[in-house]
Amino acid sequence: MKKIIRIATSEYLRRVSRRGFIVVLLLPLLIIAVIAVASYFSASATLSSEQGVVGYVDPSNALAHAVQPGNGVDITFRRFADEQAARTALTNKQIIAYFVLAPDFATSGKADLFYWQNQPGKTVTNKFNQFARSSLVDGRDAAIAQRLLNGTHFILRTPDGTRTFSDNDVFAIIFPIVVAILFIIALFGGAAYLLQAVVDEKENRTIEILITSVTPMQLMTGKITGLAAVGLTQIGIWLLGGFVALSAIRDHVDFLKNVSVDPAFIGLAVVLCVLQYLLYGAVMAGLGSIVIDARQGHSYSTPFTMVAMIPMFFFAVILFDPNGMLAIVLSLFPLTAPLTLLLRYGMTSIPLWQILVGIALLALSAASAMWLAGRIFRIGMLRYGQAVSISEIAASIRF
Amino acid sequence: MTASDMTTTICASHLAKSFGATRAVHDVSFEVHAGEVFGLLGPNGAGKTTIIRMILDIFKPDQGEISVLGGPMTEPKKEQIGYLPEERGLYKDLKVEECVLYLAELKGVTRRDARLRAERYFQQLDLTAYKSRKVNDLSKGMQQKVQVITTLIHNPRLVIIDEPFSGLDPVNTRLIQDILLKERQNGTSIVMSTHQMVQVEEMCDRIVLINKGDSVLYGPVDDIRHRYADNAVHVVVRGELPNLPGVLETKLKSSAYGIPPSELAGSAQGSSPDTTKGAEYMLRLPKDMTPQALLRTLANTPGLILESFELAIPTMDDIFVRVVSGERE
Repeated sequence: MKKIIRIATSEYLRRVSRRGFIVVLLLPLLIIAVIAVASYFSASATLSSEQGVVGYVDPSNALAHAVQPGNGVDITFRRFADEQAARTALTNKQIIAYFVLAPDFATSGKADLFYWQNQPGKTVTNKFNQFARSSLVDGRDAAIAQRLLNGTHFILRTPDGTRTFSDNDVFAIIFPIVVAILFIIALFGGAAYLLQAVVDEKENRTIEILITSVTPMQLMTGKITGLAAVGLTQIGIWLLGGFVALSAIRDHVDFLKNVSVDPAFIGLAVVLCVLQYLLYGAVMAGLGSIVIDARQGHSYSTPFTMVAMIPMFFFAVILFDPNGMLAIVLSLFPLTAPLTLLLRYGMTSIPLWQILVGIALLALSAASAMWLAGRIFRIGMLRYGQAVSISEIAASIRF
Repeated sequence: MTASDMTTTICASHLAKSFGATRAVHDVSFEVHAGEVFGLLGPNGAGKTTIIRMILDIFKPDQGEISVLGGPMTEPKKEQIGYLPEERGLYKDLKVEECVLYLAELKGVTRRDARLRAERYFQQLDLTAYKSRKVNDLSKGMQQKVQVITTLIHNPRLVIIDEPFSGLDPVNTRLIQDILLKERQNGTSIVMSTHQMVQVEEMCDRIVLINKGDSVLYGPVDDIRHRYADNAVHVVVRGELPNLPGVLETKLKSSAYGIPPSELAGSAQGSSPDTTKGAEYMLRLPKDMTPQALLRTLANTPGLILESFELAIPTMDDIFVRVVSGERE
């Protein structure tokens, strides 16, 4: 175990200290930072145009009983006798905009919005609509009036009550997709590195020294574990960066105000990531030991990469039918299970048995692949300039 | 465990290994004892590397048995073995010290001990100034010295080295030789595979010569050289060498100062050499004539000063060529 840890540590440190890794690590963080800064300034700019006094001219007295927006809203509506008075107030910057209601507003709902330079944000129009509607509920009990104004807010709950979906919580859908994409980027980057590392060790004969110190299984396990740790670090840092950015701007962006991250999702993502890294790492290490050079290794690894990408190719199908046959099959097939389960998580309540069976098959495949990689590695590691045949691989499994 | 087991580090018995239709090793047996340098010799493709890999348990023999450090190879035993492959087995992108420490730790040495031992070797091999450089930035010779450190840093009981002097200048060759001989003094068994027969003569106690997968020569170096010695002597004489009765062949080798026959003034013109400066001859004797008889004849030859008289023992290089080209004892 000590040697496995030492190999894993060495692989980890060598990988994370590479310039290429640091660039790949920082790039998404940079993008997140840019988006966060842009969102902040955009929100600030919108905010300045979404707070203050908004005037209105109501020639038909349609809004005589309208109720001002409640506490916590920075917008108030002031009535002007005529358009001239409203325009003067706008010129003097006493108001940020004003509405002129049509004489038949009660039936047509038509109104013109006037502003000076900055177009008021959606909040202004939304609040004015709410303000206008409030006149329609005049005379009703205040609580009932408020309910009518708020409309219906759906919360979907799973039968067992473990998951809820809010109709305005877009983040809950987007977040798993983002995690899935980050995961696949990290996975492919790490797997390509491992393949290259094994081929290099074979080519520069370091492998001969290593196998006189450790068993092929220890070597494989250490390398693959190191790779998994690198992947988790990568995704962890990206998510941490995302959370820091989210915390910094969430109070300024309406869309993000009430978002929360489901801890069960994080737990599932970690388990799936680790197992997929082990499975993919084993496949790449095994391939690295049987190929002649890195070029051949990359061409051999392409089919595995394509298979792992299948959920992305069928993203639309999974999105519109997250409980369909294709989504279920892909959730159970080990190479596609992690990505499919992550993508589906935000769109549906995945039956527990599918998650458990998917994880069990993935774990079984990862363990088998690591064992197989060790066997193949033993026959492939000292084969220089000559690929290992399928029959030799089959023989090594039987041995 | 018998006393013999205690001193026998490797016992290979009737080893055979094939790869498909290619027979790499066929019925090879030998023993390596504690505290000796054992030469594993043979031409390219003879099967030496296959034998080394069978010793290291990388390959399993098809037939025969191999015992290392008193029994079959086990994982703990690997920590008592140092292996220096013919081709450099170092991480080119790592710094020298990092690389050495990592490989030492995989051999079970603690990081602290590995650092101390590495420091000693760096000083001994003049690598201290290079320990923070990447392996790839070192010359071939320096990389070889680093490779030697990784082979010895864990104080192995058995060292297997394949062409250890490759890429080294004479000074560094001597340095590595001294280090290896010191290891031998400390009881370490050293199996050395090399094509440099001078090193074999200087360092090896015993050898096995493999040719086309077969063991064709096995035993102590001195015994083998004597076994292959013709009935001949080398003499250095001052004065004119007369026709010696019974001597089959008289061959001028060089002047006593190492000048080859072609450059000797007299020899170049087809006449007798300038014998006042001394000349070296190889005299081949018939089977029934002893060197002692020749010595008496030379000593009694008037006007001839005998400066040196020694049995003509063939070099390992000569023996290697003779055996590999088909001549047996």
